[in-house]
Amino acid sequence: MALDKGNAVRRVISILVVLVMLCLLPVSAGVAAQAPAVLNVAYQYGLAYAPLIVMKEYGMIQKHYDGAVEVNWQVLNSGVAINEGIVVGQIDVGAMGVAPAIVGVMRGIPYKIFSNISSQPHGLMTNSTDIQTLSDITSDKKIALVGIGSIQHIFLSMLALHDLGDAHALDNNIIAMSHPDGMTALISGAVDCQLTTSPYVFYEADIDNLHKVSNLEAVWPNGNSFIVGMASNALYDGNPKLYRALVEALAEAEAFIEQNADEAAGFLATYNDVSKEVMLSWLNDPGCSFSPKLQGAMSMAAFMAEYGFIAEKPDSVSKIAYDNVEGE
Amino acid sequence: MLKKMVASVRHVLPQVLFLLGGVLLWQTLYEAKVWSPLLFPSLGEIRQSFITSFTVNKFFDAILYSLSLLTRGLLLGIGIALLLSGLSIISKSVYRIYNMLVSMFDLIPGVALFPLAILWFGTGEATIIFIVVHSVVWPMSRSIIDGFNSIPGIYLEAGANIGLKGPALVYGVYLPASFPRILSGIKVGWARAWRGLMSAEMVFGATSAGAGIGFYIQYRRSFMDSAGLYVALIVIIIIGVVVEYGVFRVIENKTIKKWGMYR
Repeated sequence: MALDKGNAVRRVISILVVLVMLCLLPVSAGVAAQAPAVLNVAYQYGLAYAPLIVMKEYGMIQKHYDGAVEVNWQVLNSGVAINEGIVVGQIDVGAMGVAPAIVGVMRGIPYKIFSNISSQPHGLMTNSTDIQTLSDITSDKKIALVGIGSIQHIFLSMLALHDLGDAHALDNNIIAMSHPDGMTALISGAVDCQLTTSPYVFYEADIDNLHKVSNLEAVWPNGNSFIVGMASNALYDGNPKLYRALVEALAEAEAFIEQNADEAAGFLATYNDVSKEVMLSWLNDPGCSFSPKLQGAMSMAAFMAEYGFIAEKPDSVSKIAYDNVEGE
Repeated sequence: MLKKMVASVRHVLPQVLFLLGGVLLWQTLYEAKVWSPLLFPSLGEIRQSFITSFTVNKFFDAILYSLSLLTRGLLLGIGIALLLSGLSIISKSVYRIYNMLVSMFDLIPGVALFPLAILWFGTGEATIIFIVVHSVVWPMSRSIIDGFNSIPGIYLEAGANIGLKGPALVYGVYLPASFPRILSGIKVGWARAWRGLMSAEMVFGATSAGAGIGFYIQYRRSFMDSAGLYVALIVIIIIGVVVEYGVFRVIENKTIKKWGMYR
């Protein structure tokens, strides 16, 4: 009947329209990609990320880049979260611990280290008078740290190997909490220990009923890399000028903090809500340094491969870092 | 004999063909590199990860631990639900109060209770079992109470006629008559308990007694082991299917199907 034929035709046409619209979706995304350069940068909580905060506040990337660039900054809870953001393409530049960086590169995430960012003092802190050494941490005690797969997890494993002879001895004691949440939990007694970094380890050192079990110097000496900067291959290959600007901006920020400690302390003090004197004492701590040079990353990779955190170790530093990076 | 075999093969043919088609589609999409291999590992990688998960990564221990927590929580929850619902039948005031409690607490997601549960019970097994019990008790009680309320009055009168009163009436008439509802309540409770358990394990991590599937998943995720994540999902699906066909169907066949209450 004429009516049925009309319905069938209408149905076919509507299906075709929907299909065409669906095909246009990726095209529209392509059109959006031609807009001015956008850089999505992600970092985390702690004093180690001070160079990025300096870069953000002083607009250093925009200064070094010859052209218009929109820089978006976000703070995430862990290197794992940043890795995931890079895999789906929402993040171009990330600041994370050496460990998640190595895991990411060896798993095939399309990025590499573009620069070292910082070394910081770490501490395994506890609120329990029963815990004086690592062997006092029984299976029911909880150790708060940033998360499984974080550099703090690897630090804990290195300590466990050093003190207890088994790198995975304390794996089941870990409870994942960001540094600020972990500090609250440690003070309130919800967890027994926390493996944390500056400035939280400084805050906690001042609190009476907390004490340090270990300062990790024996397994990760002062000056070894802690936080490194990762840049996606898409940025390195797609916009080399912006990559250069990023590297130079970070170097400038690190030099600013190292050489103008006083001025940097003044700026960072307001950012962290402490007095300038306190911030200066933090910056002057022997464990705290900012430099573009990598140190200890390959030895951490070797440790991780030996104890099952990654399948195999990188054969050279160029596997994990771009050519402009010094050290290993 | 052959006829029976052919009949049962034909019975599962649509499902098997669908799954085979899905597997082929997966491998094709992987070869076409539509998505990054980090998001979409090949079937070979997943198979390899299956083997390593059981030989190296102690996945079997994690499964056993999760199931032990689940069973404890489920039994405790079902027991509490049956007890309180049974009491609700015997006393009118208990019924009104309990009905109100169930309506209030059924809608609280287990996840919302995590922070409080940690404060009350710490971060050990007790908290996880508490979350599982919470996930089970309310929906089960709702099913039991609704089941009890929808029993045709004539059954109750028949029971009263033969002299059943109080607990005897509950056991003799209420429970069998409302069993279809109770069984579907158990299924819902099982599903909710499983969800509550997984999310609790992911948030709390391992307990002093062991590490479950949720913690295993978090570990895989943190080391970007996507193939491992798929393996964990497949195993969870397999567990669900085994329980559905091995436990629930068997109970159904022996009770409500036999009694003619379920086609």
